[in-house]
Amino acid sequence: MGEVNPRLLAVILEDLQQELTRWATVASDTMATAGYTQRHAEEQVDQAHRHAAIVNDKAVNDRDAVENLRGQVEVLFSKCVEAKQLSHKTLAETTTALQKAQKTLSLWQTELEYALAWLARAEERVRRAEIELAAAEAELRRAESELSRAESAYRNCVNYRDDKGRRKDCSSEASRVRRAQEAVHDAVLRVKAAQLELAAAKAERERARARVKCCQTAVGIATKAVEFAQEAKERATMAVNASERSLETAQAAQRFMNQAVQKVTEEEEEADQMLKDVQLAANFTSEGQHHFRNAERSEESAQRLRIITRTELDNRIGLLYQLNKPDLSVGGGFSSSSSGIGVRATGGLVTTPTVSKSGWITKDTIMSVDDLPNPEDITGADDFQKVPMEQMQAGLLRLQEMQSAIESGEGSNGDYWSNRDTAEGLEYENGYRRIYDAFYGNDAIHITKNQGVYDITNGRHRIWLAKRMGLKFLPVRLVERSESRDS
Amino acid sequence: MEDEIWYMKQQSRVLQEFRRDIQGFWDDEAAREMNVRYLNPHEDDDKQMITGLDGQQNALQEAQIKLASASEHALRAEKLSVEVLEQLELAEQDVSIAYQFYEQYQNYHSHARSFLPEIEKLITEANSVCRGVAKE
Repeated sequence: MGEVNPRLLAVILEDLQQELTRWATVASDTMATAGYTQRHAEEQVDQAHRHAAIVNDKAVNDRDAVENLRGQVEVLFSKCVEAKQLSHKTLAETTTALQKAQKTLSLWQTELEYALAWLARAEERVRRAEIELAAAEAELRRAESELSRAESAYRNCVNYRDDKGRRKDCSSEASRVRRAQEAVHDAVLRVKAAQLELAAAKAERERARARVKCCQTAVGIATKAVEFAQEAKERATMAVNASERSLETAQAAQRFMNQAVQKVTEEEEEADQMLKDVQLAANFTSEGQHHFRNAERSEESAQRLRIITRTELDNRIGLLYQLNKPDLSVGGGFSSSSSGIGVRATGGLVTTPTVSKSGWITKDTIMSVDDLPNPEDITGADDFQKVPMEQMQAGLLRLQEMQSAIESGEGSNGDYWSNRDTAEGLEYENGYRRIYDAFYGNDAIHITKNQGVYDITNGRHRIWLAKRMGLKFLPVRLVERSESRDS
Repeated sequence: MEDEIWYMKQQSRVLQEFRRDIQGFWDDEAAREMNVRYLNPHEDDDKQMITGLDGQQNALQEAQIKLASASEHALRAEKLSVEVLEQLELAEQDVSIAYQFYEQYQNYHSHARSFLPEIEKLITEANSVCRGVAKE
């Protein structure tokens, strides 16, 4: 490779840093958006689940209401059918009863006519008998009067003596008396016959009157029966109408019920289909979550690699600029190769390295946990005195959350995390600022590198726990002598 | 999210293209080591991230389709529920009316039937009034 202008190379490496930084920002934003989108989708699915449950419950309730009313309608329909049958039967019976009553009335009306005619005839017979009796009695009186005269004449005749003392011939007077007596006898017989006839006529008249009276009573009763029968038929007709209207209305209710049954079945199908779609949506969302988690892990790994890369580039850019500067008065510094880049990549730095008078270089960097020594004096939770192991574990997990913000620069100061604690209502003991101070403040993990050997000055428990938790990287404050990079 | 993923892909492409562009200027042992240890794995992780995001987007789009379908089913179900209630209400009204007519039927019917024995009694009475009374 030909000689490269260090200044040009520094610019190129700075540009690469900028591209990496731009990439980091976009990746962080994109992951934030993806996370928000995922949460939003999950919320939508939860909401859809609740909605589906409501829709299903509604369908169940509607089905119950339909079945309940369907039972009532069926009972009503049966009653109305029976009512129609009974009402028609009763109408027939009342019609028959009316016909019978009318027939009875007609019969007795006829009988009454006959009886009245009979009575008229009986009345006439009595009248004639009375006339006959009167005539016979008159005849008798005349006959008795004639007899009286005839007897008087005969007596006169019998008692007559003429001057000579001779009697007259009274045979004619005697004959007249005999005729008169016969006439009286005939008249008496006639009177007796007339009396008998009158008695008979009167008796017949009484029988006729009795007949008329009973027929009149029968007609009255029959008329009442007809009136009752007419009313009964009228009521029966109204009952038929009411039963038929009731049945028609029940049939209409049945039609509405059939419609309701059909629609509730469709409603159940739609609710069921909705539930299935929501479940599928949940499955897809879950799949999205899986992909998101993969992307998240890849992004975290890429971010860490980006941080390490940027730190290495910082180192090289720093060295490149130092190549063009006079040696520092503190001595040491970096030996340069022809390319000016001979430092083995050991980790990344957020801050610019500082050089002490004794030649120790202190820099905040991120180191691979595997490269860190294992604290042999720590074996378990009992060895955690100052801070309980669970609390330290939680702190390390929180650090992982904070890392990308720190390395992107946004969270590279304590005030940022203090503000976040305030926004989230966290006390210092449980907040982000404490974690930041623990790893980037005065209590940071302190590693010394001397002649290629790492030594833990501070943070043994954190390193031990990080190894157990399988963390990949940790922020450390690395102190090394300039000779240490030759190893 | 489609725009964000597209922009992310763009940014990744720009970064990789820049790396290729500077390869001629920065190709020493340290560059190769950085590429092997950090930048190539970074590129791999970047691709995996984008694959994951694409997978997430596709899955969430499918989920949205299903949610939209579910929403339509819900609308139809709710509309059907309203129609069911309407039909039930109409049926209940008819049931009430039918029972009113049924009650009328019961009244008229019992009234009509109550006359029948009385009519029969009157007919019998009419036919027996003239028993024992002589006819002409």
